[in-house]
Amino acid sequence: MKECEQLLLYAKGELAGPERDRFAMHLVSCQACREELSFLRKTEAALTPFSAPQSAVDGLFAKTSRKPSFFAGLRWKPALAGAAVLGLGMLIFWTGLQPDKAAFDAREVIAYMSENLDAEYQSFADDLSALELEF
Amino acid sequence: MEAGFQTYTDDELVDAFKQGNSKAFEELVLRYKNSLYQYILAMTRDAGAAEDLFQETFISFFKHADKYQARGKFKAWLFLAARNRTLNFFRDRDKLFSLDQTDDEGCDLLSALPDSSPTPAEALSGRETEEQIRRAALALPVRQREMIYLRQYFSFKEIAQMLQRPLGTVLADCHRAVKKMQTLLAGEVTL
Repeated sequence: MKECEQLLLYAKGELAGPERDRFAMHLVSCQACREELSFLRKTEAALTPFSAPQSAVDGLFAKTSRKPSFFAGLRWKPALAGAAVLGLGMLIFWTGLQPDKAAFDAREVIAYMSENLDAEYQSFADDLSALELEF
Repeated sequence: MEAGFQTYTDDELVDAFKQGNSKAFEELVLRYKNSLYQYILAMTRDAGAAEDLFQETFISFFKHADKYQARGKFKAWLFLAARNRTLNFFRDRDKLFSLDQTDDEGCDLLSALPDSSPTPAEALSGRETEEQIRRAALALPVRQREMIYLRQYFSFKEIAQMLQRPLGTVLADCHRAVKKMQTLLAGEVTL
């Protein structure tokens, strides 16, 4: 193994036993390797992982938290919920309101989300296949 | 956070999550959020994309954790999943970019160096700052950049196993990355 490769392994503590001892002896007499080791240590310190943005973590937890649905809270008051639905229906009827465009947009969003879900599943399946190959 | 989760292994956390404990998922996120985000950001050099890919990687695991087989390799799986997603991100964007490309996208910086520059080791002499080192790492060609960053989170043996490359190839790439960083820094420090 080349000295430069041994240096990388030594810096990461991946040389063991006699190999590590031999390389430690080499370092005593080789200024170039000592300087490179010093540079590797500085690089390690400079590239220590910084904190991921809080927005990324909060956004992730928001997407993975199962919040109780709005309607779940109304289950204990079925009469009230029924009355609200009836009242809303009558209001729509009386005021001549038509189902708004939002209802159709929602269908589009659901269709789009379903496509994404399939793609995501496929992507995950690819990840798993890669994992199977790796290990 | 449930007391004692910090002492759980990754696989124990995955098992706890599979059994419905969402706090176990949170602990896995907290355990790897910084290194995973840094890795994705280094690969994409795009904070917005990094945030999306970071979330997608964990959400993918969240949704399909039941398919994960505990083999003590969760961290490697997580980074590999993020790597594949990063690759797909670039494919989707139709970028002329590959994680296995070998051409040097950092050449502009190199070509700016005067011919009479001292050798990298001579020029550095420990004067480079951490900020300069970070900039040099991000200026590396992607293959070398990946080595420099993966080295922060994995052993060389683990990197070789994860990327299915011989250990010697991984070490050679990393050594080239270190040399190129020194060259880039020498230009910056001596200016």
